[in-house]
This record gives sequence, C-alpha cells and structure tokens, in this order.
Amino acid sequence: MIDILKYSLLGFLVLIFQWMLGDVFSIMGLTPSFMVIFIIYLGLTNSQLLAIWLGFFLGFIIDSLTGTHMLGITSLALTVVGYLSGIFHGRIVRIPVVVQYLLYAGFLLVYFILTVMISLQDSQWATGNIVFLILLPKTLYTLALLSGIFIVLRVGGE
Amino acid sequence: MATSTPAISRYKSLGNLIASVAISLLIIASNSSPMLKQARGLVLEASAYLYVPIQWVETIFTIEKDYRDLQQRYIKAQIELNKSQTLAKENLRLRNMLGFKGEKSFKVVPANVLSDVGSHTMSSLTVDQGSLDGVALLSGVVDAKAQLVGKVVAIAPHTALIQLVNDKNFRVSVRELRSRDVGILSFTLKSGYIIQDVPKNAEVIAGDSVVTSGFSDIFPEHIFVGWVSEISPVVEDYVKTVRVDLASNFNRLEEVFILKQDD
Repeated sequence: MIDILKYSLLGFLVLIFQWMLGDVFSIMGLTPSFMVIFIIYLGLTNSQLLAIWLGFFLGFIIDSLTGTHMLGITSLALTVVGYLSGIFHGRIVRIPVVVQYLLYAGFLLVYFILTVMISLQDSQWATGNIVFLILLPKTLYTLALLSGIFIVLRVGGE
Repeated sequence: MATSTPAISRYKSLGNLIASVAISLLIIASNSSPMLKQARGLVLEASAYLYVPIQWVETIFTIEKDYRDLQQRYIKAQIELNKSQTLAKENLRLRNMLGFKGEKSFKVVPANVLSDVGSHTMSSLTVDQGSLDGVALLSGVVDAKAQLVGKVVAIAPHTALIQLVNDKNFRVSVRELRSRDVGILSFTLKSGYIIQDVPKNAEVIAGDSVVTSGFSDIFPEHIFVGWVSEISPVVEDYVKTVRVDLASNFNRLEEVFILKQDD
C-alpha cells in the first residue's frame, strides 16, 4: 500500500515535471517522454500491476491536459508498456546489457508507435517521414535519457 | 503448488492488461461523451491550482515591465482607436444607407496562460478562465494584438483548454484582404499554415494580409491571421495552395483574450 502511494506520488511529480519543463528538453520540436521512462522503471523494478494501472491513470491525465482528440491513447500506450516492462521484473539483471537496451528501445517504440503513428495517421505526412523524422528520433532521444537515468539509478545492473 | 503461483500471477497481470486496454479503447471510442468531458474538466481544474503559485512568482518579476509596455501601447492604441471610431461611424452610416444588417458584437474575457502543450500531433493552452467567468465552448481566442490564436475546446468552471491554430485539427475560414478570396486555413506538419483550394485565377501575392472571414459563429470577421508567404505553382490543376506566415507567436503568449458573443 505504501509502495502504491509512494509511486503514485512519484508518478505525479514526473507528470508535473513533463508538463511544466518538458519543453526545456525539446530539440528541434522533439520532446522526450519522461512518463514512459518512469513506467518502464516501475515495471522493471517494482510491480507489473502498478505499472499497468498507474500508466493508465497518468496517461489519462496527460491526454486530458494535452487536448488530444484521441483521449485514452496515452493510457493505452502506457498500459501496454507497463505490462511489457513488468514481464522482465526481477529478471532484467540476468539479461546481457545490449539486450537490455534493445528491450528498452522496443518498449519506447511500442509507446511512440501507439501515440505518434496513430495520432498522425490522418496527417499529410508520408509514413516514411513520420517514422524517420519523428518516431525514430524521438525514440532514440528518449532512449538516451532513459540510459542516463537508469545508469544513475543502477537499473539493470548487478 | 510452487509452479502454479507464477502462472496465477501471470494470468492476473494479463487480466489487468486486458481490462485496462479495454477501458482505454472504450475511452477512445467515446471521446465526446459528457462523462469524459466532465472528467477532463476536473483534470484541467486541478492542474490550474498547481500553476497558481508559479504564475504568482512570474507575475512579480514581469509586472513592472508589462506596465510600461502597456502604457506605450495604450497611447498608440488610443490614437488608432480615435481614427477607427471616426471610420467606423462613417462605415456604419454608409452601411445603413445601403440597407446592410448590423454585425455581431463580441465581449472580451482576458485570461492568463497557465500552461502550453505542443507536439507534432496537437497544440493547446490551458488558461485561468472558465465557464463561471463567462467562457463558452468553441469561443474564439486572440492575443493582445487581436491576432488569431485558437478556440476553446474544453471547459471547466475556472479553466479552459484552447486548441491553437497550429493544432493539426484546427480549421478556420479566412479571407485574403487585397483580393477578397476566401479559403480554409489549416496547419500541416509538411507545409505549415496553408489555405487550400484557392481558385487558380485568384490574385493572391506574397505579403498580402490574411484575416478571418467571419463565416462562422466562432470568429468575427477581420481578426488578423498573418501574411501570405508563398503561392504554390498551379500544375494541371484548377486550384492552388497558399502558404501563410502566422502573426501570433505562441511561444510568447502570457495572456490571451477569449471572444464572448453578446447575447
């Protein structure tokens, strides 16, 4: 119960950080998602169920604040990422580092495919442009930040 | 028994995933339901309280500079207003002589920007005025220079969410001032702000001013939008695309003005 309260509070702090200071980290219009990093961290180190449901509720708040026309899409994406990262809960340390980062990249791709690709499906951009100019750079940028944060927090280390 | 516990846990997680995904899909499918709008309003309302102390600190640092700027702008605006009032009276007299109907009038609700969210898919602002302050859904929004900013898309008692012109779902009917041609302005990631389907014989040139046409209840006519920057070459087509540079700078917005239609 204490863990639920602790991580819910932490999740809200990450949300406020993303909401108020997310633009500071924006490079050429590409803003990383700290929330997905938090949900991956939660799934890997704490509890899969907490990652799923906290991802759902925080995703809904993000959607409400951003004014998206697809309310619920971030909930869906964070829920899926929470589930996927939770599969490796307690096992991530036994996986080679290279594979760990491939997994993280996979989680981020799942998140950005759901949030970016679906939202942009009716835009005038060609799919290739969305993938190479938004999806992949955003994934790599968020992965770079995730790597830094996980090294500091010693996630995936012995 | 030992092997069944992880299996139960796995099914439990899967069950939770299915439940949360199902709820997410249900939310996506019923985006316009009143219950969801109410929930969104509650989130917006709560977010406003978080921003109050930050805004208070910001105001202390900027208030004197703002006051001096406003003083200068007030004097200039007063001179312009005198000129405009003279012209408006003359215009009204001439319109009456020609038998035109009167125009709709608008009240203005000033609002402070609480937060802005921009991405490749959407762009919006949260402001500190809501339904209790007289803001209505789908009200037009302009900046301090009366330049087009967006429209209200979600509302709570003390806050409102404004969809900006650079949101990919935003559309507004505009008129090119010199040629008087009308079109729909939208924002695309590929081309920026464009007016599509302008007749190929329209005499639009770069630098022309673009204003709202007034063909909707959201925006009155003559709200300044921007300038024509480029006209696409017409190749075996009956229409051309006009690219527009927007006048308003969304990165610098601190306060906006919500247009409230007079009853």
